[in-house]
Amino acid sequence: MDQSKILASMSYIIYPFIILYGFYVTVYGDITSGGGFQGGAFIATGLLLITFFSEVRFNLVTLNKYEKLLFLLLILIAFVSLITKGIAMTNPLNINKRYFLVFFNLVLGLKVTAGLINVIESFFEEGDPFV
Amino acid sequence: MIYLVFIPIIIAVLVYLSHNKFFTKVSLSVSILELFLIIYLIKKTISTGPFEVIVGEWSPIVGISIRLDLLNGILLLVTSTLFLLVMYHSLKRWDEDYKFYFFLHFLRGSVYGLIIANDFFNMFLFIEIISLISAILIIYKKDGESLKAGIYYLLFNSIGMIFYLIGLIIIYSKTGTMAMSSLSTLEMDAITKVGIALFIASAGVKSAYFPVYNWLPRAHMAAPSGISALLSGILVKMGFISSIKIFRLIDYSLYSDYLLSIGLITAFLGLIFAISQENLKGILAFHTVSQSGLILIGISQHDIIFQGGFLHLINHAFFKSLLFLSAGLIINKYNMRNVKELKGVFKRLPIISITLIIGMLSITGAPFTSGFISKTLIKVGFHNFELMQWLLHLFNIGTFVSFIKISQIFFGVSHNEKIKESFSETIPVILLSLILLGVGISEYIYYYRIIDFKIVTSIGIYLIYGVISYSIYRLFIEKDLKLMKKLRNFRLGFRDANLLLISFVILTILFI
Amino acid sequence: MYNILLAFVLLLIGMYSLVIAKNIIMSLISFNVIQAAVIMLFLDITSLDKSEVPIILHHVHDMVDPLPQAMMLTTIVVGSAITALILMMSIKIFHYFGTLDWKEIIERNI
Repeated sequence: MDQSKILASMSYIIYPFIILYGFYVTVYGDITSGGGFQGGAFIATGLLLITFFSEVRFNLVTLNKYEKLLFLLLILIAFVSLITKGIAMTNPLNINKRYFLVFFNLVLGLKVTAGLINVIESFFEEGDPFV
Repeated sequence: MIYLVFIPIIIAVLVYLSHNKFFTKVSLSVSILELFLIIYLIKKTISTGPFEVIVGEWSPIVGISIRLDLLNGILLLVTSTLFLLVMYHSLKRWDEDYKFYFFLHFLRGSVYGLIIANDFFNMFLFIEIISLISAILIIYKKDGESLKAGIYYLLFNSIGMIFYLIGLIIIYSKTGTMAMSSLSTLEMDAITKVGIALFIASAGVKSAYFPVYNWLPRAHMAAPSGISALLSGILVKMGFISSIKIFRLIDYSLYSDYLLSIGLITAFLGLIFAISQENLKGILAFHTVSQSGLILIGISQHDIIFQGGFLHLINHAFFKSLLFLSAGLIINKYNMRNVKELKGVFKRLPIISITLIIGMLSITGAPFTSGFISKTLIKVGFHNFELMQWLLHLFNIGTFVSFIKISQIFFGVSHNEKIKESFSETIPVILLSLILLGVGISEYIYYYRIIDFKIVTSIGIYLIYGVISYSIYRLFIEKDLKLMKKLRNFRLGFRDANLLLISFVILTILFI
Repeated sequence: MYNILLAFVLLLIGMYSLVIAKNIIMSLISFNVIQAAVIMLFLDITSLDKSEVPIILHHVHDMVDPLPQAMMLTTIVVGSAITALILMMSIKIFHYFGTLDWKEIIERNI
């Protein structure tokens, strides 16, 4: 893909800060605004900037498998409370609910990252129809 | 009971992760277990009454609520049976393709979720998921016709659901909660009526009411045969299901006249377009529009007409899927779609022809079949409104004419020697026709003491229908007049369809 | 007060542009404009005269209602999924038909 030098050099400098900010928004999602989807979008943007300045490409098949496994993990964690308490989708073990929420937000953020990288990278791989 | 939604979704992801043909077949047998679970839940409902559950034990104002009663239970049973038969039918053609079954299992979970939802926002979410996944399934073959149909379908339905969201804003700003039970305590001033009118208008986009039905024939003609059966059988009824849930809580006598007239126009227009088509699937697809108008006539009134409309919803799911599955088998073997060119079906494929004839007898209302019972209930309910009874007779004659047009494929001789049928691929169609006959007989036993059916008169009326429609067919339709050609090639563009959508919404707001 | 007026104006612009769009991508853009207008309408109607952030650690009175915000997140996610799917479908339509015009695609008979 034809790319400009300005875009490549700026991405080289700024992408770690975007990924760091994305993790901050994800993990503190229960007390400030943000959470799973927003943080995942940030991290995906930061990771996609890598493809502008280097030859690293993502392997879409493993990303797909990874995303489905995270989705299964999310649903199975929600149903753990069916065994311990008898009701689905509540707090198992009655611990402080912040641990629970941080874990959920992190898993959701990683899942959304994998999904969005998959979508946008397959748009690039489809090719340029206007050539 | 929330696991009823999540078990198919977990099975879908597991099928996708293991690229295994054997595991795909095993996943079908797990869905048979789900059928037993649904029967157990219905038995529990009959003995103790309807029950509501809030997921996760939150308070009723903010929680997601789920409700199961007899109406939902019957719909769950019908849905699960149809999904099972369609998945078994497409096992031969899409066997090595695990992605197809991933989408089908996910779709099944979302449809269950819509039927048991009791919450405005839950219904919105599940309807959007159903639109997305069925759009992917429509364009699965990826040729030109499917892509056109798919993009029209997805864009149009999404715009329709935005009007639902505007209605939701109005109701939320009045009551402060998303639960549906708050509607029964609301007083009807002008703004609330606008909100409910927007709900009804967006249900019209999903269920093919008069100005906004254009996405339906394209989508049903271009989809693979099992998916066409699912679309016509269940996914068209989603608008009706959400309308029934809203109608149960308010006094809907204000809307009865408006919805009755829209239902009449829809039924009439669907028949005229169906008669002029030559594609086998096209006739069936336009016919779905017409029957959906008839269901709307039934649902918008009270008492016995409402029961007739709801019964017609269930019967139509069964016999339309039977017709689409049989037509799909015939088209796959012959590789032709035109009704005038298909010949000699009865000699070469006898079992499929017999199931097709059983479906056609049901849909035109032959006595003792299920179609007869639902149509008679609607007719009897209008007993002090003479004009409606004549119009219903007219719609029956129109239905009969379009099916005589299909039945000309049975005669003649086909010259292709390689067409024969194997027994294993006709098992789902045979099972479906047996279920259809069973449903007919059980409904007859249930309504036998309430309504006087007048059997001998009905058989006489049915034979008169046959004679009149055969003569109409020979005089007008077979010659293929210029009007028929013009109607066949009439296509509505996307921009004009949007204009019709906006005017439909404004008209609904003004008349209610 | 002016926020609601702006949301209505955006809604009308989006609906007008749906009716006269000639290209598939133009219809998609007007769908996104209508969706943004509806989301803004929802958030403005339910939080007109309150002003605090709904977090219990800091403030406990006069909070904005947090329930519509969670729902609008879900709506945005659904809208973005539909946009991605329609874009992919329009790439395939361009490969098959050579044009992205509504008139040529729908009213041609293939």
